[in-house]
Amino acid sequence: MAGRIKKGGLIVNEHTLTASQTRDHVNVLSRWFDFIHHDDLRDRLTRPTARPFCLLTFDDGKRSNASETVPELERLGVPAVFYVTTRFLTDGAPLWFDRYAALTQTLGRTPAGLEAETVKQLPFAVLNQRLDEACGKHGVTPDTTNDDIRPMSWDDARELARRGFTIGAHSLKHAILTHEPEAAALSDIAQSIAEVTSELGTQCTTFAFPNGNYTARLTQHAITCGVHTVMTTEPMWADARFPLWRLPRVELMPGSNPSRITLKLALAATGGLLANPDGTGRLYRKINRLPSSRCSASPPSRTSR
Amino acid sequence: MANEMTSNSPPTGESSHGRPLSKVVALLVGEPRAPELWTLKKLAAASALHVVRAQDGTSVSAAERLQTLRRKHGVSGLASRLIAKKLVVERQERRQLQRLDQLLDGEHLREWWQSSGITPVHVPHLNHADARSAIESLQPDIMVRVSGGILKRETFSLAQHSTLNIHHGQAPHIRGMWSIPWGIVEGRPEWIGATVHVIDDGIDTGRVLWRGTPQLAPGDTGDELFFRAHLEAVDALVRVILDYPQGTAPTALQTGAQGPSVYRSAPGLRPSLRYLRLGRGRRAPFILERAVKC
Repeated sequence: MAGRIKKGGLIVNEHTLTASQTRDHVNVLSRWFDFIHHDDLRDRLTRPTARPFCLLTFDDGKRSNASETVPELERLGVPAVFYVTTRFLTDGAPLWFDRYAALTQTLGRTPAGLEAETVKQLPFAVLNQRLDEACGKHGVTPDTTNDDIRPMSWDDARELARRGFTIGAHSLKHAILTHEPEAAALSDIAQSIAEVTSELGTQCTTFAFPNGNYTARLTQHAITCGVHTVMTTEPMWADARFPLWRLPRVELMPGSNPSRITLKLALAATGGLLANPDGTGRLYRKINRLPSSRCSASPPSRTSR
Repeated sequence: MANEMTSNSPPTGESSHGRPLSKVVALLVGEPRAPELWTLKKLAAASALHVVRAQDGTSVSAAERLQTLRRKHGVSGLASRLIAKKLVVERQERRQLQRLDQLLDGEHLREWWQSSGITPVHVPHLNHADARSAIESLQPDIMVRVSGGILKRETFSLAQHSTLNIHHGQAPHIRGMWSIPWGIVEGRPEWIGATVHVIDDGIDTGRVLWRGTPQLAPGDTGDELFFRAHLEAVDALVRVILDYPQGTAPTALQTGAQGPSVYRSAPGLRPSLRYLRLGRGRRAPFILERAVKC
């Protein structure tokens, strides 16, 4: 049904799912979509089939991806991409938004200087300093025994890759890269891609922007660092109109029931009703009407699986 | 006549970098707001900081200012600016200050200011004889204009090394006030950013020591661009100040062959309304294009 309405398919953006949530999401999506591997994405975009595709992606690199989600995906025979925040995997320090969530949960409010509308506008150093001060003052530490908070290990990531899943880069520490000085953002992208490549022993082929915020310069830089695809969070279907360096993804929430997921997919198909979770609302509608011919760097030829 | 000549007892000795601290006098007008407090806090951490604070930015009366503006812009231009100021600009400024207060965590900055031990020397205005005598008695290595009007040579020449300013725009491409919004209104990304420069007799014409621009990305407004430009500029200002005691006066950037230098003053009604129509930058085409064009 969906294939008659739309060409292309969906790239779904998840974060953490329990085994039963994974099963529920896959069940809903499998009604309309063929699940594909990241390596098949380019072909499916350029040569659409009658039935649309779905590429599952999971951001951040939490331990529960490896312990809860992957066994269920394997059982169901569904491929996926896991975008890992590389220093998070290396040093295990909780990500800033988990510290923020622990802080607001403990206090029952947002502390001054860390209001919801402020927190995602701050450069990473300023944000971390405020979180350090607030967490220190109120004695708040996230529960690092929770698999939805602590990272998977690099051994986990290597094991996932060995079992056929794709491991992509998701920055060093989940800074919102458009809010950093450009040189720092470029370096962050290059280093995170290099770290995935080095840890896995094979070229990292995909990058996803933390929080989804991007510019063409940053995406092009990721391509020059060797990846073939770059993901944003523009909540739309992906088709041949989109260059591989700027692919939209539709975010699904862990607790969504089947009808809510179905509704979201239908809204995403309209190409303009959903708000981009990166904080830019529906500006993507205007952006996608702009010609993008001036960024014409083409990705290197694809390596075989 | 300065009504409070006592100054604070700022830290002396060496910075955390092991360098001797410069004696810095910060010049400001009125109660410092979040952007000024951010600058003062960073300066206090990197220098022996004194503050000279004026009640008014200028010695020129409102009537004289109106006369000057009428001569410069004509009656209709003056009327347009006055209407724009009342209807749009003042509201925008209030809104921007509220936003900057959130982004810069004004609450904690004010707490710091209260407990900093810095007691400003109060003067009528920054070009007043009282201000000059206060500055002379402090014998600053460097002065920083943190806020306020145009400084006269008699004032800005009192620093041993130089008097510095942060201009929120890319000087000398764009000089004067409201530079980031002007860049948005006129579609000039090369105007958006901040500059650390030496103050001379012109407006934002002095030697440029640092110039930077934040990334422009979809969703940005003038407020957020000002915020990010300010953070980077203050860090650069501190680096410049830390370099002076090393005997290495920072090298001026080459700004000669970089196109025309434009001066813009307060906006009239049309640019003010255009700024609003562009969602203060959020809907500016050249910012949205950053998503698709390098």
